[in-house]
Amino acid sequence: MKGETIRKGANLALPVIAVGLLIFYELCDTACSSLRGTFLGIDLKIVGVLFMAVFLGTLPFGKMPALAGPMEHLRTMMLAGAVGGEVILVRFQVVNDTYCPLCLAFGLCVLALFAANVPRMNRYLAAAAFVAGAAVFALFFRGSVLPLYS
Amino acid sequence: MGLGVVKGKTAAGRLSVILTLTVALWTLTGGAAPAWGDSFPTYGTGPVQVRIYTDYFCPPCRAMEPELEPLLIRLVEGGVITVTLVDTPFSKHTALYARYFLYALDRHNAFGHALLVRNTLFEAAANRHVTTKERIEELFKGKGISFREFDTAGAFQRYNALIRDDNIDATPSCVIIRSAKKEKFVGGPDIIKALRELHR
Repeated sequence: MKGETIRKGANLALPVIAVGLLIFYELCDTACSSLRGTFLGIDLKIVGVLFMAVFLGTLPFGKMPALAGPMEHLRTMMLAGAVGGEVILVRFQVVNDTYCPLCLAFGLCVLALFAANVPRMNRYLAAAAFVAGAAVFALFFRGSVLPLYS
Repeated sequence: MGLGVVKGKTAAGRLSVILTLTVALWTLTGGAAPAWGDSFPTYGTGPVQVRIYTDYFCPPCRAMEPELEPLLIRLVEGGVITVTLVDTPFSKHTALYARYFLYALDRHNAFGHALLVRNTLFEAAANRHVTTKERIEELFKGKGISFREFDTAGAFQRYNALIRDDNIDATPSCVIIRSAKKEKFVGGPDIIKALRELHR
């Protein structure tokens, strides 16, 4: 029961914290980093906000018996896929020796969400989604570091 | 009479040597200056080199400008610094804005005018709808900013060399070089603080 309470609390709080971080840095940061990325041409900040919005959107449906199972699987695929994608993003930063504190903080929120939901995950579905997430990011993520004129 | 003719020939000879040397020097130095050389945004004659890296579409850069400009004017006019303004292409539209900044300087490259054009472009970037050359030209016309198009490839290469040399990965950034020592500052507050230290 306690674990379930923590999981429910994390599922609500962590997406809000993650989106809050994105908004805070957009408004209050004192510098714009050249480290930027897009996924299928969309800025990663927008991808992050959409991801968390969809994740939060699955929570109310979990209370309906007919939809609880499918929603659980959807959250499993989203979180495992996101962790796979985060591996690619972190690797990019390490390879280029340029780090984005906001990106790393967001990644920690994703990891924490994954950890909170692991006990309820179908491990095979999670493993497949992790690999698929990493593969999709490897294919469609575009990152840039030094801003240069072409 | 003979002596006058000899003196006249010697004088002509000297004059032709001087002219030849002048043409040679002109060809090797000033005359070979790139077409964009007159419009590169470097101002002042101070011993401290300052390079300001900004992007018109970067909100922290825009926020820093009101404090930065009077400080730079004081430092340049006081003979403390030589400043170079480097437009850093973080945004997809920055290259277009940078070209028009240089086009405007090609007509009139004075520090005050550069700051005026810079402010105009910062305001345009904040409005977000000025993203084509036609709209920039319309904006310049409205503000009375004349410009002349030229090939900016050379200037952009020079910008790239500076960006690489100073390893710029964030804007605003400021590099201060004095007594062969280079320091980099990132973010409006740190840059303003570092420049104020120079003013003291």
